[in-house]
Amino acid sequence: MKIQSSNLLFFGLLIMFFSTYGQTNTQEAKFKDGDAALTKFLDLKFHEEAVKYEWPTCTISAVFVKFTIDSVGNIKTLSFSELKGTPQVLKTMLRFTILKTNGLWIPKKINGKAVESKHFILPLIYDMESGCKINSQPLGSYKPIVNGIDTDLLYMLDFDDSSEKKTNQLECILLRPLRLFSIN
Amino acid sequence: MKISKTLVTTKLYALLLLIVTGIIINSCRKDSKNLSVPPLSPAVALAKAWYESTYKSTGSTNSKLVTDAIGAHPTFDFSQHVKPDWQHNSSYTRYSKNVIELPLEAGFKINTGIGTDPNGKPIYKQEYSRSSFLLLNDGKNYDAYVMTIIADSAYLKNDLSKLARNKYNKRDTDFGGVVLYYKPNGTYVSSWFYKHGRLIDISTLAASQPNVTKKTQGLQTNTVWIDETCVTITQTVNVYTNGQLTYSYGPYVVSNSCTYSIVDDGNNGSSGGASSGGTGGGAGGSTQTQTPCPPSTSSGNSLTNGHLVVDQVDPTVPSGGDGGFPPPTTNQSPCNVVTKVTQQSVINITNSVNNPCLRAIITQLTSDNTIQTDVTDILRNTFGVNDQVNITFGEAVLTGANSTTDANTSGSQLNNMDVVFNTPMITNATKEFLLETTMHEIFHAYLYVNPAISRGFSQHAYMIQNYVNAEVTTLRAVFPNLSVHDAECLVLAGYGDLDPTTLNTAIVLYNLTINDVIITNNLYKSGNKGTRC
Repeated sequence: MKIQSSNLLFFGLLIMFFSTYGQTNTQEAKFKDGDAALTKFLDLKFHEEAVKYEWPTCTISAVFVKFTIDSVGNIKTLSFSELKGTPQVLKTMLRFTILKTNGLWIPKKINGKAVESKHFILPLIYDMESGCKINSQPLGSYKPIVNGIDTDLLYMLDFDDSSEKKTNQLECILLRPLRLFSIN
Repeated sequence: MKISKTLVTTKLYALLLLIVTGIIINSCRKDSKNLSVPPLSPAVALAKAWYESTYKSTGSTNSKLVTDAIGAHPTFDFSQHVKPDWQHNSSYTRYSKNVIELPLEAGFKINTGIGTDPNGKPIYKQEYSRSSFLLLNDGKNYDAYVMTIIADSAYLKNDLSKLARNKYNKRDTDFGGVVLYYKPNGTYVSSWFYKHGRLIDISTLAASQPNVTKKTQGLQTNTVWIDETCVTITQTVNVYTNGQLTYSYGPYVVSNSCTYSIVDDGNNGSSGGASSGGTGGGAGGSTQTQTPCPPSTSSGNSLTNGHLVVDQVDPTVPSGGDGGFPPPTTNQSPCNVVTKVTQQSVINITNSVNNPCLRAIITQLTSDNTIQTDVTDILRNTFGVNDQVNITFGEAVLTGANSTTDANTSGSQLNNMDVVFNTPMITNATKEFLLETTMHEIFHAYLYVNPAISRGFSQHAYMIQNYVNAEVTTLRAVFPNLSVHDAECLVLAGYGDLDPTTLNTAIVLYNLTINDVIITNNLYKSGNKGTRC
């Protein structure tokens, strides 16, 4: 009777081993205090950065920043979409905003081992109608959605890290966009 | 054959010799490297052992994070980002304590900037900063500090090498800037401000800054009142490792520093007031100023801010007698009280404009229940109820491309709108003009909070099609004598940057011409028609 129990236990464990063999337990990288806190944190940090700089005028568009989290929870790679005319100052604001999350991430884990995360994409939508003169068209402005998608949008998804991959080919996590706006 | 064999053997020996020589040279290099690191003195070695056991490196740059309120922030833990360079220590005795001063380990650099307003530009620039570690020992216990010196541009005169001249026990006689002390875990300890070699009160600094968080609260009695001037110190830190930015922190509020002054306006028992007119029977308008602190022993120019002398230096601050900086901790007087960080509360509608006329209009729109229109509904129900959506009304001199505009609405946060009126442009404006400008900006803020409403249109294009009547109705509700013609002109003038076709199409609908709109608007803006403030 005792031997039979041992056998059962052995076979049970054997079945469990084979059923789990080959499966991976993956936990994506995440902000320590959760998604809502990340949105709030980025929003606040971006605001802190934004007030340091003189904002561009009469320009409307979007820029995307792509980054990964390394195995200890810091920003590892960081690159920007290359839309023609994106003001450099906006990239600077975004860069500093993202870097302020350093150390505040729980790294991605595969079977308990910390690894580099997949890409996070953070958009910044900027709408700076302020400073436009009469009848002037804001730089980089997109056409109304009713007219269909502007082809410029396609270039919004190319990044300056020379990776050949387009965003739609990436496995990525899209974050809630930041906004910067000014109008008279 | 024999010759050839000898040649091969010779070559083998030569190769062997080369390998042996290489090994010897390599081992010599290692020895030489080891020899270049002299052993630490026993005192430094003990201090190092204490420091490393007290401030253990966790191997990560994690910081404690609090994100649930504005003003709350993680502490910048120096000990997890940079290490002291123990080999380049400087040891001496100061204030009866053994001091070990240590630069940062090679390859690391911390740039620290200081400002007096979380949203303002830094007063002391990051590029002009230099940090080092201090280990103090009183014979029994150790204390460790990070000392950050940030020089001002007037002192540096673009010569960054001057930074290195200033150490804990040695300061240039004309030093201008600030010395800050932190615990290695990031806890703020103290700061001391200098100008032209003299210690100054931070309120002096605040008085010279156009955009500082400085508040003066009056506790008024008959002829004497107490002014409390509090200045917020904010810190920004960037960490560079081998020239690359690896960590960015702040700006965060690290302290509030307050000064107190008792001010006597010489009115001798009259009802007094905040303004010192000097018409009473006292000292003929002369101002007598004293502070609750011991009298200042500092000499030189005191900066005055009206009746308030703000350049008071605490005489209890030890000078050290060696021309160095004050110690990290001292018995500070109430003249320079460092208090805990105060957190901002969530405010829905903030009216901080200076123009009393404009201020009253905003208050009227916000809280006068006798006026109930679409505009007041938007203001009260969007910004006045939802504690996640805030609108702030302010006043400033706008510059650059915005210098000729009447007002600007902007934001860099999802739900915080800033409406700023351009002071020079509204100086003579009538109440009707100010109300219209305010409503116009409220609609902008509303559309930013609800971007789906105007999707596909520029805000002005959407507003001219949808909000003109609401604005006209509100204008006439507040100013019943205002004609429809004038109200419509005031409203339509806000859309002058639209393309002529769109603008003309809208204007024609109201039986107006562009000239009507421009001329009428200018009359109200210049104070030549309407209700003057």
